[in-house]
Order: sequence, then C-alpha cells, then structure tokens
Amino acid sequence: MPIYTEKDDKLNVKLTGTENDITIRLDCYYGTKASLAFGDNQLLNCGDTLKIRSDAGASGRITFSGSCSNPQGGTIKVTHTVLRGEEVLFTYTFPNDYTGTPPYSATDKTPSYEFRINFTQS
Amino acid sequence: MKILYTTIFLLFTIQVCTAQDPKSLESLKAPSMPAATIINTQVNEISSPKSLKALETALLNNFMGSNKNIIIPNDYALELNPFYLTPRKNFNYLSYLEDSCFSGRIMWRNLSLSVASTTNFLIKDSVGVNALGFGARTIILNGKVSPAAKAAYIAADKNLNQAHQANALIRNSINNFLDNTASVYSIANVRAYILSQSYIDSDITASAVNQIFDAVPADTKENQIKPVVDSIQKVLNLEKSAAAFNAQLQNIKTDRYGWRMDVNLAYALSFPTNEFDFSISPRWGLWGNLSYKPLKNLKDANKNITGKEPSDFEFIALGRVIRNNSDFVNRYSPMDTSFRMGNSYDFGLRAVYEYKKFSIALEYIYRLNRNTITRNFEGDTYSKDVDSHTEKYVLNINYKISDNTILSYNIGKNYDNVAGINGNLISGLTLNLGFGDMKVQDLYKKAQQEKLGL
Repeated sequence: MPIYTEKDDKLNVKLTGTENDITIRLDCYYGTKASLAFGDNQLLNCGDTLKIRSDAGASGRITFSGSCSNPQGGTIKVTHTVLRGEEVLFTYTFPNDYTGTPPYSATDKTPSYEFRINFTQS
Repeated sequence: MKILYTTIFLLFTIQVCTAQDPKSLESLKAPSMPAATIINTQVNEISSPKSLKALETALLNNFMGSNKNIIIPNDYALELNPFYLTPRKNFNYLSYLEDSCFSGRIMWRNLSLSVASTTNFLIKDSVGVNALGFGARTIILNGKVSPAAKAAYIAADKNLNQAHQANALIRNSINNFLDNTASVYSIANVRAYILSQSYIDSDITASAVNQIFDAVPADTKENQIKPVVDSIQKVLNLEKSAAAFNAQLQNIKTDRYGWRMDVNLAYALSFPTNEFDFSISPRWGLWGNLSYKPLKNLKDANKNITGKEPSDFEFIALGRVIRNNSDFVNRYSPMDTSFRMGNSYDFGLRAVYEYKKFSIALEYIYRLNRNTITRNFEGDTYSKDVDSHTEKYVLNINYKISDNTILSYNIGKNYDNVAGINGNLISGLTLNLGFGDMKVQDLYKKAQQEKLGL
C-alpha cells in the first residue's frame, strides 16, 4: 500500500511572534493505534502533546510522518490538533480530511501517511 | 402414547470451507446468538459491522429489496457491539485485562445487540412465515486472564506500538536525509544515516533496520526509497505485529479461567400473514450461563512447573426461562383449544474436557413446562396449571485428525414434544472436512515478498 501524502499547501500556520509554543496533540478514535514522528526524531503516541516550535521565529515547514492501524478492524480515525498556547489553530483528521495522493483506500489496514505544515510570518 | 425412537447411524456431513480460512475448522461451527436462538434459525454467518457505515451497508444490502421495499432475508443474522461504535478516544487496549466482577464497564464493553431473520418460522406442520428475532447479551462475570496469556498480550501490545513508532521514525529520518542538501543519495548512505539516529537500540534495533535495508532492491531510486522501505517494513514488522496482537487479543477475551457468567435476552416477532402491518410475538426468553474453568500448571519439557494456564476442563451451568405466547400458539399452532402453553424453565449442565486432539462434552438439560388447561362448565371457565417435564442429553466426542479434518460423534436424546411424549434418540457420526487453499491476502503478501526478494 502507498504512503498517503497530503497536499503540500493545505495546512498553514501564520506566526504571530508571541512567546507561546506551537504544539501538536495526537488523538486516536475507535480503537485506532497510531504514532507520529517529526523533526529531530520527536515522537507522539495516542494522547500525547508535543511542542513543534515557537510562535516567534522564522518561516519554515515541518513534515509529519504517521503510521496507524485499528487492531479490531473498525474505523481508523486520528486527529492532529495544532495549538498556539491554549488556542486551537486547526485540527487535521486522517483519513477524513485527507485530500492528497493517492486516494485513500479503506481496505488499507496499516496506512502510512504524511502531511506538512507551512509556517509563515504574518 | 406412541414412543418413537429414531436412530440415525453414520450421518456424514461434509462441509466445505472456502479459501477464506484454510487454517481452521472453527469457522465452520454454526455461530450462536440470542436473536437466532429465539426464532429457531441456524445462521451460517453473523454479520458484525464495526462502524456506522458498515452497519448502514449491512442493513441496506439485506433488508432492502430491489424496489426499495423492506424484505426479510432468510437465515440472516446481524450482531452489533455498541461499544465498538463509540469514539473510544485514545483507547487503552490493556484495559481488556480487567477482571472485576459486576463492573458496569465490562458489561457495557461486552454488550451485543442482535437481529436475526428467517422466512421459514414454522407456525403449523409445514407452514413457514417471516419472523424476526431481537437479542441482547453481555458478560457480567469475566473470569481472569492467566499470567502467561497476560504477559504475551502485554508483549504483543508493546510490539505493535513499537512497529508503528518504527514505521513513523524511519520514514521521518528518510525525509530528513532527503531534505538535507548536503546528503548524497545512496541506499548505503540512507541506511547509515538511520543507524546513526538516537532511537536506534532504544525503540528500534539496528538489526531490524539492517533486515529492512537488506531487502531494498539495489536499483531503488531516490523518489522510491520511502515507499519501498515502508512496504518492506510493513511486511516484515507491522503486519506481523498487528496479526500477533490480534491473536493475543482474541486469546485474552476467550481463554480466561475462573468464574464467567453471561446473560441473554431475546424476543421473537413473527408475521403470520407475511405482511408487515400484522405481527405477533410467539415467545421471549431470558437465560444465563455460568461457567468455571480452573487453572492448571504449565510444565516445560523437563516437567518443571513454569507457570499457570487455563485448564482443559470447563464446567457450565445454564438457567433459562422461555415465555410462550398462548394467543399465538392457539391461533397458529393449535394442538388443543383447552390447552394453553405457559413458561418453559430449563436447567442445564455441561462439562467439556479437551486433551490434545480429543475433546469430549457432556450436556444435560432438564425442561419444566408449566401449561394451563381450561374447561368450560355451565358457562364458567375453569383453569388449572399443569407441569410436565422433559429432558435432553447429548454426548459429543471430537477427534481432530488434522487442522482441516475433524471427526465427531454425537449421541443423545432431544426434548419430548410438548403435546405428547415422543422420545427420540439421536446418534450421528460427522466428518468435517475443510477445503481451501491459500488466502488471497496471503497470496498477495507472498507475491509482494517475492517481488521484494525476501
């Protein structure tokens, strides 16, 4: 099965220069197991929250690599909530929000996926 | 009274197992569920949707006719576990190891709702009509998981988590390697870069990484390295870990020791005119099974005790109440207009012993029928409760000749008919043969492995 790769320009965050951290939270539903890696081997498992970067700083982009499965054969659903401090910037749900290539196949029992977040100066 | 003894010798039943499951004959056993039991239908397969979308598809496919009219499918059953349909945010699979008694959480987790249908629900000698069965069952005493099974399950859970972590981390490292403009692409350089990462020998072993890269074709281009490594890793690691975890998950759900108890509730609804605007309930029932399986010592080749595991012996007690609707019986199955069927009370015992390839099960059920006889005398109706009892016993012996062949012998007596004593003795020798070859998924995996030179 392929790696489901989201469109490069889909997920964007405008940096506002505050002292807040930009974080990502990984939540899994319906019995899905998942792991997400990014940057310098930072790793999240279901329920984890981790700092991505600071809100102050230069523009850039970060690629996230995910791996998931549902051992009981049920629905696969993984949400990635990006926050600035306590403020939720957006939630990206795999595979519900996935619009990349190749198209998602519901028969894939162990989907691998990737998405990128672009950070731009406001 | 006529006592009829029917003996059936050498009843060979050859059942065909398709290529879907060539490894076991377990799939050939007729599954049981309260909804099917209450309408006396035996289904070959139960549809078990695990998402709302799958439930919608199952209902539309089976209960919707070509003209978008509602139909009743024959010998169809659907069982739904509502727990699976709830979001279960960040569900912890280790919570399946809980063994507390009468826990609301365990009852909710094991609750299943079922619907069964038949077009051959007998109301007279040979008149079959549409009927639906509705059922619910849950476990209120869940037994305990043996220490060995618990350890194996925890290890399988950890392995699957690590397989996901490895998949995500290795792909992330390849991204970092490819994004670094100073990197010179070669498979050896990618391998060396991954082996230099901090997670090696903590979350992922170097030998696992080397095993993956040994299988990467030498001519793999830069833009193909990620999907190739990803697919090899899945075949070597992730899919195996997922299958092993699933096997351990099934094991800890079913192979428990100590006291277990389940309760079942079922309600039957028949459509004597085969029209949906007229229905009548023939019966409903409530029953429970209480079982006990002791622990036994687990020994190694030198007969040293290395641990404990559930015993090969299991004892099960059954209690059941079936409430027959006398209006239904008198209207559609009249045996005697002065006779009104009442409740049936069943009390049963079953003992099962398995030893290597042999298994033996002895079952006895005592049934008490409490009926009412009415008489009209000078314009007044008089009634009287009358008890009658009947019993059923079966001895079942199985011998597993091979994974695909089981020889079984049954001997026993079924219930007497409620209208009279029609004793019957049943004896049957059954040979279950499983036919089938490699599963499509296995073929696909094998082809993929050959393609990758594994």
